[in-house]
Formats: sequence, C-alpha cells, structure tokens
Amino acid sequence: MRARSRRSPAGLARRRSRLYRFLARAFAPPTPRAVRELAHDGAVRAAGPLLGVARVPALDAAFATLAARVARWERQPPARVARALGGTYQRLFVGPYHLPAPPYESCYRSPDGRVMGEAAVAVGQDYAEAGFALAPEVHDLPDHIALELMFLGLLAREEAALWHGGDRDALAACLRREEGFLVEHLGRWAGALAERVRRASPSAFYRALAAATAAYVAADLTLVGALREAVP
Amino acid sequence: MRTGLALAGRLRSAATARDLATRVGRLAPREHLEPLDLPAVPTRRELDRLATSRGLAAVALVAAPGDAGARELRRSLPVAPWLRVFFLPEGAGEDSAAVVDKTVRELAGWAAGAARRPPLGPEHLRARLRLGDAAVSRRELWASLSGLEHAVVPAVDPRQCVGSSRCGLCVGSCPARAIGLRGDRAVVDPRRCTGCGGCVTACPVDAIRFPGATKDELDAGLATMLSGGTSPPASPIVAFTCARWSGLLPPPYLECPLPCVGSLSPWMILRALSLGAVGVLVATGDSPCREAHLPRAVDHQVEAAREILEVLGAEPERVAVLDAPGAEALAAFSARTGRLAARRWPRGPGGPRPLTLGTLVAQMAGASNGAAAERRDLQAVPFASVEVVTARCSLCGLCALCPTGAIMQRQADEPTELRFHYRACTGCGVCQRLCPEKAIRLTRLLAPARLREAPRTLARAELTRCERCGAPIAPAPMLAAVRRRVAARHGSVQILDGIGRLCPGCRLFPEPVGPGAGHRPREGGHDASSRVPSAVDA
Repeated sequence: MRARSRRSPAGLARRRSRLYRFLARAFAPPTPRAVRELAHDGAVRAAGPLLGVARVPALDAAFATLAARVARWERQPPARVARALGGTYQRLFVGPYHLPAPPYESCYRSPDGRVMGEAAVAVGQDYAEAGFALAPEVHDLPDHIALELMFLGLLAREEAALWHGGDRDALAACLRREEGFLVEHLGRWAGALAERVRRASPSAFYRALAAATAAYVAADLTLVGALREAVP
Repeated sequence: MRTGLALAGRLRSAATARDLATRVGRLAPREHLEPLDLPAVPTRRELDRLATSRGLAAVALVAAPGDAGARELRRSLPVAPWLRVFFLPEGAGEDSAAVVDKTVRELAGWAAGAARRPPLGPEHLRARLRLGDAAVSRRELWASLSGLEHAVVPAVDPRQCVGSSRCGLCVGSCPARAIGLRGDRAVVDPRRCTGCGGCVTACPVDAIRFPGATKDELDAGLATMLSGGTSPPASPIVAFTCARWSGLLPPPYLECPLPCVGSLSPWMILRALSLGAVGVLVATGDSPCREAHLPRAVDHQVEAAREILEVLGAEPERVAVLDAPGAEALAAFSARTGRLAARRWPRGPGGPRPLTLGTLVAQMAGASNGAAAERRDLQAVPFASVEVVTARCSLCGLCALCPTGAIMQRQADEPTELRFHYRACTGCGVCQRLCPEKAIRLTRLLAPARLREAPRTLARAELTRCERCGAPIAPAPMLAAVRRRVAARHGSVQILDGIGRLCPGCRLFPEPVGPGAGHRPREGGHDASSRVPSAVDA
C-alpha cells in the first residue's frame, strides 16, 4: 500500500507540495521556531526519489548538502542557529545596504534591476487568478522567492486533492497553472539567484538552499510539463 | 569518480567480472572498474539502486546476447546515460578471443569516456510518462506513476554560448523548435526537446553539452579503445551507433554508441580515423524513435567527412552509413576497408588534443605528408573562406561578431584592420547576414595548407580622429558610408558635421566642467579599446 501511494500521482503532488513549502519556509527569516520546524520536517531528506529519478548528480549533491546542513540543527539549540543564520539572511536578502542577492524576481527580470517591477505585478495577478491573496500579516512584495515557492507548494497541494477528486478539467487547469508559473516566473530567475547567493553568501546553508531550489525548479518544470501533457 | 562493471547471468565463456576488469585495467591503467558478479540481469531500477548504494557514477553491464532482460535494459539507455550494456557471446568459438578483446576495448573506451562526461544536471532532464513503448493509458496514470522516466537532453552551457553575437545557429537547427534565445543566450526547452542532438553539431563553439556525445569524452574513449594496450587491434572499424541499437556488431567493429546518431559530426568520424581506425560505420539503428530528419542530417555530416577525406588524399569509402546492417553488409564493409588497411591513416603528431575540426584536419593534413590541394566544389564541408569587397566594406566591424572569432577587428589599432582566420571559420554565414554593405563573399572551400596559416588581413583603413582631443571616432570609410546613406535619405549631411569631426565626449561637453569632472581625453583618446571583439588567435 505504501509503495503504491509513493508512486501515485497524488502522492507525488503531496511530496512536491511538502518540498516547496519547506523551501519557502527556509527562505523566510530564520526565527527559532522556523529553525525547529525545518530541522524536524524531513521533506528535504526524501527529495531524491521525489523526482522518480535517482541519478542526477547535480541535483542529488545539492539536496544532500542541504539535508546535511539541516540535519546538524537537530543537535543545536534553535535560538543559536537562528542567530547565526540571521546575520547572513539580513546581509543577503534584507539590507539596509546594497543587497548582493535580492530575493525579489523583479530585480532579476526588470531592465534596471529594481524591485516592484512588472514581474511583481504579474506574480500578484497569478496569485489572485488562482484564488490566493497575501495574508494580512505578510508585508513583503509578492515576488519574494519564499512567496513564489509557497504559491507552488499550495498549487501542488491543490493538485494532489484534484487527483483524488476526479475533476479532470480542474486538474488540467491546475497543472497548466503550475507549469505556467514555473516557466514564466520561478524557472526564469531561480538559477540567477542561486548564482548570486553562491558568490555572496558566507553561510553554507543559504548556498545549499539556493542551489537546491534552482536545481529542483529546473527538474520540476519538465516533470509538471510531462504530467500536463498526460492529462488532457 | 568510480565506475562499476557488472557481469550478469551465467556465461558459458566462463569470464568473470574480475577477469574483465583486470584486462580493462591492463589496457587502460587509469580506469578502475569495480567488478560485480550478478546472478541474473537486473532491472534498471535494481541497477540504479545498486549503483547508488555503492556510490558508482556509471555502470557497465555485460550479458549474453540472447538475454531478453539485457536487450530490454539497452532500450532504456536514453533515460539512463550512466549505464551501458555490453553483450558477450556465449560459448567459446574460435573467434572468442577476438570477441573478448573487442568487449574489453569497448569497456575501456567507455570507462575512459565516462570519466570525462560532463555532470548530469537538472537542465539535462526531460520527464515523460511511458509504459514500455506505448504512451501510458489514462487509467494507469491515475493509479501509478511507474511509467515516469527522465530522458537526457542537450543543454546549453551559458558560459560558452555566443548568442550575444547574433549566432542563433542552434535555434535554426532544431527540428523540434525547442531552442530559443533568452537575452543573449540560447536556452533549450527540455519539454519540447526530442534529444536528437542536431544542435550539438550545429553549435560552432561547442557550447551545447549532450552527456554521451561531447568531444572530450569521445576523444578519450576513442583514444583508449583504439590505441590502448601493447598491441593495437588489427584493422579496427569504429561504429557510431544508436545507443538502443548497440552491442550487436562482431569484431573488428568497435562500437561507440551515441545518445542519438543525430549528434554525429565530421569531427567524430575523422577523429576515429586519425586515431587508427581503418573505417567508420554509422549505424542509425531501427529504433522507433527515429525522426524523419535524421537520415538526411546524418548523410550531410558523413558527406562532409568524406569530402574532407578526399581532399586529404584518403579514400572516402572508408566511411559508410547503414541503418541496421545485417551480417552480410557488415562483412562486406569490413572486407572493403580491410583492403585499405595497408594505407592506414598515419597517426597525427603528439601535442594538444585536436578538439576542433580545424585543428584536427590541420593535424591530419600535416600527418599525411601529401600536398593536399585546395577544393572549391564541395557541398558539405564546414570550412569556408571569407573575402571582402574592399570598395564596399566600411570596416564597421559587425562581421567581427563572428561566433567562432574567425573574423576579428581591433579598432584600437591604427590603421584599423579586419582580419580573417581560415582555420576557425565554419562557413556559418553569420557575417554575410550581418554585413550592412553586402561586402562579404563566402566561398565554401577546403584548403589544408591554409589551416596552418596565421590570420590574414581582409581590409584596412585609417581611423578618423577627434579634431579636439585626438580620440579615434570611427574608421574613415564607415563615416563616409554613413554620410552616403544620410545624404541618400535626407539630401543633406549637415547633421553629421559635428559627428564626423568630434568624438562623443567632445561633442557634448567640449570643456571640463570642474576639477575631475566632464571629459578628459586620455593619451591616444578615450574608449580606444571598447566594443572591440577580442581576437581569438591560435
């Protein structure tokens, strides 16, 4: 039964959703609570078989590094981990000075590299069209990497439910939406962000996180494309 | 990187994985194969798990030829490029020593190539849902994703891509329209890519990586296979085959499976010959995935190799294309090339590995010792000579955007020169397309003697300098051409008076505004070296 659920499309969508939400939370500011949750999540450990293909050295290596980093946290007080990560997070993604790796899509997609460009508006529209809105407690721009990853995590969760429900049109629409968002948004800039983080981050965790995210987004794009083709 | 060698099932020839690994080690001392004896042919997933648990980056499986499981496994090679299946004939016939030697050579070549394979990244993956060869049915899809596989497709190395010079050759070469330019880099959309590898051949700078078909790994593999060990094989023929149709050829054929035969290039054929093969067979196989454009694409590449051989004074019939040749056709070809064996290609001199067609042909031309004459009546060779109609050329330098750097211009030089390096030219025609004056004449020709020559000057002109600061503005013919065009359109060239006499800095800010501000010409003018493509010299 377990083997069957691991291979079912609904199970795959659930695991993808879990991984996207893990990555989203990892890109959020590192509070002690977030560190504790990430350390006990386990989503990242199961990332290899997630794709249905086990031998992609670049992807495997990226996730192995990330999993090894997260595994270390289990033995350390979350507050200390959060404090250690906080400084790097601030320097890389928050400011106030020049950001070496801004976490906003607009910075990579708009010609002048500024925040709140067309990409941010388009992403906000995508959220609204899918029936999502930013929670009142979120005060960041819609094209923040964490929010985009969370959006895909939520779409994948919706997809998992639709595989069970049997509404084929809704399922096809959901897959199209996921693929479209990956092609138009995350797939376009996750690699560039990973490259900037690689150059600028003194923290191995953020380097591993950005590399794993970029590799996973690239692999997931083709996976979702294949599923979308299979569902008429 | 560790590689594994698995011997599956009971083979009557009594070879063990350890025997084979030892023999491979003797032939290629650098390659270490970890031997594994398996009771039966495993499934791909079992092999996958085995390789993962033992930390093996690549696995060779040796099985008996009739083994259905091994044949099925071989069919899945496009989705498992880390795996290669070899067939060792059962029984100890009189030619079994030759057969074992062939297997050992292929194993050594494969291991040497696998060690130089570019790492497989997520950009190389194309997911697809299949069950066997049939598209997955809807009911099966809902129940299980066991038909989910990832095929391996080519990907662009953004650091090497020259899309910024309006190259776009890969875009035009793709029959699936899977390649597009994003910004100034080409990007392969894996969802559309069929993995035919045509773009790999089309790219003039080898920026498209197709694991299993890169020059680096093929060069290492061919060199090991053909010249490794104390006694080189007798009259070997290298067979470039479809990966799904491999492991079927008898000695003296040495197989070099490609992920798709569409990635075949003249370089591969000539490299095999230069390393000691007496002939090259291209077997496109009978795989159902064969695309309509494939035979023509393969024929074109083979024709190019034949033309080059002819110019170099070698027999073009050393190269043949056969779909899925039977025993008779194979015997006929090996007999034909066997007769040519006495005139075996002389090995090229040592030195750096010739990883471009230009350097390879230059090396072969040098080794052949024949005064190979220039040929102009050729249809397929990727060599061309560029001439410039000097009366028309304005030395604007657009042609120097050449993807391979065969045309160069250094505007800082005085007088400025447009130079052409024959060896680097692939005849792609980008320069002809870009030239606004239609001054470029491109002639497809192969002149072996010119492959060693230094860049020659196509056109030369004085630079017009700023009357105020002395900085170079533009080549004089370029300004004259602009004047002509403006006059033809507007009737007056008054607007150009200042532009033709003053550099951009002096036009806007004739005097410095304050200390350290404004325009301060350096010695010899400013911006003397900007916007000049770097010269690629051998």
